[in-house]
Amino acid sequence: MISPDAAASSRPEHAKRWLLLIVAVLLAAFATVAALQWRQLAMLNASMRYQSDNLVWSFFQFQAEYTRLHNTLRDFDREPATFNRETLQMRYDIFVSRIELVEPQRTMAQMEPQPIQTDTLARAKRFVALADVYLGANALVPVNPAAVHALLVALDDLGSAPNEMLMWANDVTASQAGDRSMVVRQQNQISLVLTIFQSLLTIVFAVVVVRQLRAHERHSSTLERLATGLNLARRDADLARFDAETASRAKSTFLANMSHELRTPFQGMLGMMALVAHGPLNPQQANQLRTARESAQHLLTLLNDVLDMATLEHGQLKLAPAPTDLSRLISAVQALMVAPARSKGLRLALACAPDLPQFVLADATRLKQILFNLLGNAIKFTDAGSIELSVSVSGGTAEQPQLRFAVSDTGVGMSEATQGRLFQRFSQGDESTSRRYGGTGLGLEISLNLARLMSGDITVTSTPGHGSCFVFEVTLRQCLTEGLLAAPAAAATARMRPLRVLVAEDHPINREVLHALLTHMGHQVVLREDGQAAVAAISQEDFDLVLMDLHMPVMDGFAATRAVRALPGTRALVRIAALTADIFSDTRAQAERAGVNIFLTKPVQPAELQAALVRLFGPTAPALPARMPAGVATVTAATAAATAAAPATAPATAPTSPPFLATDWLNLSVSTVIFGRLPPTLHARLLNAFFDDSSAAIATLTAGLQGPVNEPLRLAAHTLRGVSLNLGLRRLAETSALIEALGSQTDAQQIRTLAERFQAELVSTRRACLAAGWMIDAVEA
Amino acid sequence: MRITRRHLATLPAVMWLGLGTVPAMALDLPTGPVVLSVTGKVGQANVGARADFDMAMLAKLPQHSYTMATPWYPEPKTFTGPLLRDVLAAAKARGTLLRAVALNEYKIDIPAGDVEQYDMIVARLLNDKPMPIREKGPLFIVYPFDSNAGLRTERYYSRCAWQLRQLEVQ
Repeated sequence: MISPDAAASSRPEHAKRWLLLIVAVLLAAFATVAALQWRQLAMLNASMRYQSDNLVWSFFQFQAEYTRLHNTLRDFDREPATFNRETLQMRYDIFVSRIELVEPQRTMAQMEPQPIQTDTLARAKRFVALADVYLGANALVPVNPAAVHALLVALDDLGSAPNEMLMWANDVTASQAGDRSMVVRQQNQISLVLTIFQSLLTIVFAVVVVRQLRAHERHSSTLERLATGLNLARRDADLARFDAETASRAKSTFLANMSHELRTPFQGMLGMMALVAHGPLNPQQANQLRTARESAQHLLTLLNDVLDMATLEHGQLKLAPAPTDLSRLISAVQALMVAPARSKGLRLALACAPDLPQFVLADATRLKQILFNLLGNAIKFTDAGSIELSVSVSGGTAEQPQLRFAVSDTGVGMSEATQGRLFQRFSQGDESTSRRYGGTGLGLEISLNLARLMSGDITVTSTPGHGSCFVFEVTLRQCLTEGLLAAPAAAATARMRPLRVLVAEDHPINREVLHALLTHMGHQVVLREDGQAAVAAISQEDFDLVLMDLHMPVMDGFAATRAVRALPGTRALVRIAALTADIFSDTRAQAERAGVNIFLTKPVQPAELQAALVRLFGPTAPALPARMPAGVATVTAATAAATAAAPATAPATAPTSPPFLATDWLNLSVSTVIFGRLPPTLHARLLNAFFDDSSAAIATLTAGLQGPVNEPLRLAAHTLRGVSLNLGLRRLAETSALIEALGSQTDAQQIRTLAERFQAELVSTRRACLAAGWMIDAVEA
Repeated sequence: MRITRRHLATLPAVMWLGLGTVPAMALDLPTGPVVLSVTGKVGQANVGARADFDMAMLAKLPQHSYTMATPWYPEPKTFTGPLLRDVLAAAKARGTLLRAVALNEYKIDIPAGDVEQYDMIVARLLNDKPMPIREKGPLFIVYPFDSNAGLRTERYYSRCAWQLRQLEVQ
């Protein structure tokens, strides 16, 4: 089949050749016709000039005058009495004047002189020579009757010659006229044929031109249609992509928001199960509980996968490369994976090439995540034999070596088809393995995405029944030491030099929590209640770090950060960590534009805070001894006691309520994660202050809920939410979030409903805190 | 002027009288041999009902000369004589058609329009010499072929009467 392009390009060439040919032939035809007509004109001109038509008339006149002269002479000869000299003289002169009209030199242009003409003229001239003796201009003898007879005899010499010459001339002229008209007729015929030919060619020419024009029109309209179609298609595609991106963004935002909501109850669940595990259990119960905890742990892993994927997809995941001790990282991974391997009876071997760089610039967390995933998969899909992790340098330069992490197993292996599908979403080998081994199927995709984010790649080779080998290759930059920046894992155990830290936080309880945390870490803390006060303090004193709440009255964190960055001198360069309960990307982007160095998510976790500080300032001494186990033990004991006490106190304060679990209202992990390291009474003291009747946050919110929704109300709700999260008051944080999200057009009924719910939850939450043993009721105490 | 001439030429009847360059006056009697007779509608006759001219009378009229190539001679010749218009005016002739009659009674019709429109002459000298009969004399009507190429056709050549003897005004 000829492609439309080829046909389109050859058609005009073809047509052009035809047009040129037709034009050439037309020009030739025109030239021929013009030449013919020119010849006709020339012929007509010639005949006009020589008056060929009139020649016969001349011969006729010669013949006629000859006859009249002859008659006159004969008459005078017969009757000499009638002789009239003048009459004879005139007849003779007229005859003579006719001789030169038929002279050959005058007629030869039209007619070839013939003997009949020359002979006749010779005889006529002989007569004239004789007659001139009597009738010439200088006549020797005047004409007289006696001479008449002699003249008549002399004239008789011409006889019938003039008549025959006339016949001859007439014949010649007639045949010439016939010839001429035949030539003209022939030329006219040729002209006619040529004209018809010309007309036909002109028609063909017109047809070709019209076809050409139509083809051109068709071509341009096709192009137009194509262009329009393309535009439409592109617009459709744009719309579709926009829709898809919007949907995807909405999904990512939803998932990111859900992470808090999902992880919090999970941590509560795990915490509660930990508590139960420490209680008196029979072996069957202990077994059931262990299964439940493992299931929950597994579920949390799956959840983390999904959330990681959402973050990756949203493009929010940024790598944080830091100098990393490669062999220590590999050892840590191996140490963690040895136990699960051993539990399946598998041998986990580690082979490190001797030329591995000691320190590389890498995001250790993500690097470990990939290795965990690959090793986890290997363990999962291998029933017997061994797993080997071999690390070597596979290329690159000395400064930027390409590292090869190969995880090989002796497991079930995969067919080629399965390998092809392997890195696709939700793919888990084939159907049978997915049912058998479970999992989200996101692990490999996440690993591949992370690898690609590091400009690396993961490949696989496998033989069904003989095992698989996953190879992760990545080029990392070698560095000399672990430098100032340490991986978060290392940070948790690092001790730092004392820092001067400014905390800008509007809520007193949050302020106090941060103050306690930082002081406990050995840092010097200055507290300010709003952005303006913070900027004033920074402009007067030197600080190592500012913890900046983004939502504050008077001047919010964004404005304060911009104001600090605009300060003169080196104080503008102070490091600023933003504190926010938002994890929306646009909040982060806005804060980054304002000049924030780092983000801390509320509730602030000690480990995260410590990691951030180490990241910013580097470790200088061994870390604090971890007090987590002690904390857990403390809370566990306290909560256990509170749980026991709850049924006793609940009916007293809320007789109509059914028995409830404290976890409905509280985030129990807060007590271990945040307050675990702090003075034991701090949490209780802060809770007491919070529930105090004079508590500003509650009073403001309560007052605000009496009127329409406005900015002060939203700010109060935001503040209360932050405080509630810090103190672990889950249900209150949720309700605060609801109030914060209210629109200006919310009707009074809905506000009233929320106000009632808020008041009820204040009471319930306080009861839950008492039940959980977080605080002691002052009245009851 | 040109418009007037054309306008007059389109009229069926044309008055030659008074249009000539010669003031109207009584026509002399011929003293020599009569070479031209104007007959028919003649207003100023001198012999009977006709106006006769001898060479001297024609020579007294204003003379015009054309040197031109003609079909009758292989080389250009100079024709000299009075305007036909003036000759007719002298006879006070008026009519729509002029019939020229030659010595041998050859006749040719000349439309009145030609006389008015073209400066035709009655040539009496050829190359400044009188023309004998045997040289197409003594009078020869010619059109101004030299100055008007449109006249060089058989139509006008045939209207040139030689051996002219009589003008019949109709």
